[in-house]
Amino acid sequence: MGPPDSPYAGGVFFLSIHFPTDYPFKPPKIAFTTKIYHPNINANGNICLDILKDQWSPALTISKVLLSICSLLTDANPDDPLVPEIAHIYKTDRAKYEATAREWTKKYAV
Amino acid sequence: MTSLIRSDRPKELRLCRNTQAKKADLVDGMLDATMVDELAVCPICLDEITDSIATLKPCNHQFHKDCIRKWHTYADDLKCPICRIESKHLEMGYKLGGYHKNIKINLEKGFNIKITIEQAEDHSLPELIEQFGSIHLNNQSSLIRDARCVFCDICGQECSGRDDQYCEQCDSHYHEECLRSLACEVGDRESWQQCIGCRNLVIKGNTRTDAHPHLFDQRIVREQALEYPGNSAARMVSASEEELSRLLNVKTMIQTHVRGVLNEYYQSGVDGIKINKRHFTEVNKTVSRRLYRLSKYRYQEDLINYDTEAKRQVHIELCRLGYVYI
Repeated sequence: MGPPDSPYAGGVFFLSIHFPTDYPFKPPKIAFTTKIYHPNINANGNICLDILKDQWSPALTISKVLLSICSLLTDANPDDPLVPEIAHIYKTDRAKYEATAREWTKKYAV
Repeated sequence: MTSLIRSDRPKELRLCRNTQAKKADLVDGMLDATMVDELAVCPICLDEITDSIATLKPCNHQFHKDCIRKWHTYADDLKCPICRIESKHLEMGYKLGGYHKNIKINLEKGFNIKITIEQAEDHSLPELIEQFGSIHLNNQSSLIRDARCVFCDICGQECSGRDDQYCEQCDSHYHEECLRSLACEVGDRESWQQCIGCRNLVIKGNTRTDAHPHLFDQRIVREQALEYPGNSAARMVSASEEELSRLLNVKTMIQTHVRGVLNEYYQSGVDGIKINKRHFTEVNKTVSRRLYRLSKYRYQEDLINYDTEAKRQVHIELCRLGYVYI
């Protein structure tokens, strides 16, 4: 579910979670299967999140990871973008970013 | 009565209760129940902790020993998975008893060796010099010298006596004494001869050489390695660059044997097994590293038949990957 205080509110976003054989020593591979307009999530659904890469810890659980993804939706990190174009709009024209994100949510996630 | 029991407890345990459970003001019985409840699950595998507890120091977070040690083989640093505080060592203890001070695993020593060996394996000598400069290289060479000795997996101390135990399956070394005291600690005196890592039976170095001829070779290699006159620090410092290039040479020579064996599997297939490029690389890496370790980072052609050993190890790895021989 898109967080209520974000332009993704009201949308239902599906994710695929792949557990490697050596989970929890290696991070799970998590990707959005629903299209989403976000500076840290690209067209393939890949998520740019440190705890899914080098900051992974075996004490993290899936619910904690999903919580982090939710907070990423509320607070994007435009300084470490996966999609530079969206990050640029996010930084320069926040209203336009929010409008597009809301539009995509309506189109793909409702 | 209550105060008597309290004062009998080891200091560390009480300290841990005060900081972790923060329920020191509760009566003892309640405290016990709460503590067991809170400590019952390993944060890594989420399974119950039933026998011994491994406590990271200084942060006091607790895990299964196997889980946290396995994590250290994956991790790039020694930070605690929960609080990310850099850990210094691991203390082993039985769940309801006191902590055994003598079973303390020095994490930094083994970890630094692991990182050094990985760097030496992954980079060429000029790259290493460029990256770290010669000061770091001097430090590295002393680590490489350390790595050539064999350390007990439990206590992290050097194995040198004839009573040392060896696990054939995962290449772990143990002091007999360490295994015994750990088994006593967990209340299972019968299982002391099992490897901590894979529960395989450990073998006493020299006694079963008939059943495991290749082990005999290893013993010789190991004894020679221990006799290696590398104790003069000054000599080692001046020879650091030579050391590294020697190490890389050994790696290349060992890899030639492993590649030879794997090439047959890759190009024409052996006994109905044909492997792909990915498995080639994977098995090559695992087996080369194992042989590299087994021969104690020296190329010992007269003592070890690398072709036979490579074949054997490749066979084991392929079976592990799910290949079936026809």
